[in-house]
Amino acid sequence: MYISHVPFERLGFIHVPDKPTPKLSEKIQHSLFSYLWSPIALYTLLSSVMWVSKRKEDRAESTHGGEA
Amino acid sequence: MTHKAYPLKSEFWTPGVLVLAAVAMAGLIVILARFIGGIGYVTHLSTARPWGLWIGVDVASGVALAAGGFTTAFLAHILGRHYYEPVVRPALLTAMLGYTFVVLGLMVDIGRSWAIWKPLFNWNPHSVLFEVAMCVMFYLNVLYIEFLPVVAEQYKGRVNLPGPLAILNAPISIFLDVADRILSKTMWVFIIAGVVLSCMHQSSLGSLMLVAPTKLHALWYTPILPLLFLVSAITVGYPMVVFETTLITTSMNLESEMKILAPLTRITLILLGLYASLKIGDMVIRKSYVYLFDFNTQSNAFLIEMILGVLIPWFMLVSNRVRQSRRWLFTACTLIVAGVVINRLNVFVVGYKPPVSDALYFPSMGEFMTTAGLIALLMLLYRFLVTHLPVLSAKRKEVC
Repeated sequence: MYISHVPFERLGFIHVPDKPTPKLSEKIQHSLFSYLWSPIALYTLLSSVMWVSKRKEDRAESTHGGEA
Repeated sequence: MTHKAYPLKSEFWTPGVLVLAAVAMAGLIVILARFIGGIGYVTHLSTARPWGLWIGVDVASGVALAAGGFTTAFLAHILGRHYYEPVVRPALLTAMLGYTFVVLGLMVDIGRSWAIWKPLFNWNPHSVLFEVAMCVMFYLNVLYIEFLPVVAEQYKGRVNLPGPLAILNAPISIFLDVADRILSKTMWVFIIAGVVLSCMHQSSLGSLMLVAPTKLHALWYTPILPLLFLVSAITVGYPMVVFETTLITTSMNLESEMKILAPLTRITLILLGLYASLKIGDMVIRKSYVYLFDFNTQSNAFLIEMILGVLIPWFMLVSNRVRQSRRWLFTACTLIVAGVVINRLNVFVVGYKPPVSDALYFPSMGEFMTTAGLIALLMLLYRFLVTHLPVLSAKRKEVC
């Protein structure tokens, strides 16, 4: 351990931030993926989009007599 | 207009293929040397610089360039734009091979490749790398499942293996039959899972470097790095389709498919514009533009990445004439693809400067040969598979 009354940078140490470095990635990781909420939400959204587009297609097909 | 994919059944051993095979062989020999002599024997990697060319190109760029698989599946199957269906299978094949080679590249790069299955059983939900590992593992299997119907279409009821392997004919035939029947009902589950898994790990690959604020150069270190990775991966999806379709149709003497490719890049124009504004906006907000004109390795690399890989292709794609011309469209898309590769290399290799070590890193000959070998092997497999499986649907050019 080093104790000094002069700034560490002047002693040839590198400047390091005060915050722990993994804080940011941990925050992003936890807020996006806790309980896998975002993948589940995206999955639900995409399946509804697919369902709507499929239904539109089926309707168009039935009105055109199956000629696609 | 009906599009039916068909196996090309053309000559496999052309002079180009022989060159590729030679490059692949050289790469395989270096890989053998790496497993006999260790990583230090063939690479310039060190404890201070554990990530080099292999991570930058084979893994990070490989994952990004395989994005065509999920972006085309999203367009054609989820949004139901069936017009684009002919490019879905080739893009899926690229993604499947791309991810297979990401894993192979990773096996060569990580110190103890026999331990690669460990994250499956030793969960660390706080770790970014854990999430990437799980997503890549699941997505690779999803890709194999998505590709299974293509194999079934060609070989269902017609499995005819040579020699003693003939014993397997019946089981494989039954497997293909059952898989095809189940998948025709449940494919949507895998298509959506593919998109979700892709979004997850494409972005998380960007989060990987957030743990190193003192090591990654300020031009690239930004809290929105995951977002930038995701947007650039989605952006490069369609240009990659244009790039590979143009290459394979030229090489196989097929019609150009420009009718599908040209409208596809209209979407790229919007996406690339979004990516450019995110990149520039972020630079302005974080005031990292002060490093822009240092003209050292990092600033030069950043300028090349942005000008050559983002701005020039964007201005090119604005013009309708470029989008309609096969040659120019290919040029613009190649620039975008190169831009993403340079970006991944910059984030993982060029922009990475550990402050406690002055160790300079430049990839060794062995690293280059391995990367080139793996890419050549991928191209050979691609060619082999489109020769024997119904992947491409571009018509053969009339010979006059």
